Amino acid sequence: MKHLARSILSGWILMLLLMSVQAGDQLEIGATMPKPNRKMKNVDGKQLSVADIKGKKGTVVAFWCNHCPYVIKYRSRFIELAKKYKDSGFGFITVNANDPEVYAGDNFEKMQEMAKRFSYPFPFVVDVGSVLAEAYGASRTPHIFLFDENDKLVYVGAIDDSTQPEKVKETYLADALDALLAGKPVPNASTRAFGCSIKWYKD
Amino acid sequence: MMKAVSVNTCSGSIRIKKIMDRVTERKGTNVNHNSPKRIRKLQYLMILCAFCFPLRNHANDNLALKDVGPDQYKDLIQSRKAKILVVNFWATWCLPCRREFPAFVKFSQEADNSNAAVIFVSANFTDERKAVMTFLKKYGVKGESYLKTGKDGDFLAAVSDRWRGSLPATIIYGPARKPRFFHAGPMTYDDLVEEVNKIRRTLQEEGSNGGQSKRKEAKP
Repeated sequence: MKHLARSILSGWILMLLLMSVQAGDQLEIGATMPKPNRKMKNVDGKQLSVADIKGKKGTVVAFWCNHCPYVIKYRSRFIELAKKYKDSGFGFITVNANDPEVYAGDNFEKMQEMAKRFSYPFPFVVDVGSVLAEAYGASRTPHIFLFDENDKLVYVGAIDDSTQPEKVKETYLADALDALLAGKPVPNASTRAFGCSIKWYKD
Repeated sequence: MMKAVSVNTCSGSIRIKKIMDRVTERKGTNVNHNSPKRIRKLQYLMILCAFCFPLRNHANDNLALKDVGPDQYKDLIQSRKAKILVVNFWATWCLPCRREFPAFVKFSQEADNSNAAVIFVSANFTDERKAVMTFLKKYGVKGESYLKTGKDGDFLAAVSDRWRGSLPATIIYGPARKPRFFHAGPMTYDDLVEEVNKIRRTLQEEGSNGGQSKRKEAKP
């Protein structure tokens, strides 16, 4: 009996441990956009919130950075996608939640340089303290969150299903945007992909 | 076993060289000495040599980079005999992965970890094999190492339903490859030892509770 109690207890401890190791839970589908009015510094030096860039049809918030090879692989594809869907009424914003003390390549000057060099068609803001990333439960770059016109999360995950453009079969984000435009439910509401871990600011 | 083969092959290749030298020497002086018998002997030796060369390289280097796709992952972890299996997912260009890497190598080399093993699965892109090999060599990784292939979503689904794909990530499996620990983010050597010891204690308790003879193993 004592053994049984002990094993149940150790099971619980293990479960709690497993739960505690995962940084902030990812926002659930249907959840309301967190911290829409949090102001963050954009590459143009102005303070900007997600609410400021919201689109009539919906909003794409992408956790992004400068250095990550996954971001680099997806950069031009995401830029093209943003250009295409901005005109259809979607707002786009990229957010850098990485602490430049942890990864120097993700500092503000480098962000400005990248935004300029690749003519980012969206704002690229600094999430000091990784506050927005934590509220969203973002864990990597790129990590995409799509909200509908009512600020409800309708899609979370990857841009598409392959880092190699020629191997792409499922264009998850584009499909989700098309579904919103057509007033249909998003086919794959939650997908996963590899990415660089967010370099959380130290407390 | 491997060593014995490699030694044999070495002396074999030296012998071949000697015979070859002799053959070429004689060739110059007298062609008739190249009897069919001698040529056949040479052919046999060459075939033997061809078979043994990969083994010899393997024994010297002992490092191999194999592909692992979503369909092979389960078989891979099942194929390892160690009671506790640590799987580390990393990439050469991932800074926190690079920082934690030596801790995992050290852990894998510790003598008292005989019932635990570490395998590395690189999430590098498939055209970066060379960089992966260079990195593994530099850090003294021995044996088979792995390179993730296939679609990310499929791979992640095969590995864990808890992991959203950020690097690095570590999973520790117990017997029957039941996942006992998962962490997305870097770990230190002490973290790793602590987690493995915790699992050992849990296994010991489960063993004594279930009245099985697992008790005598798994001493922390």
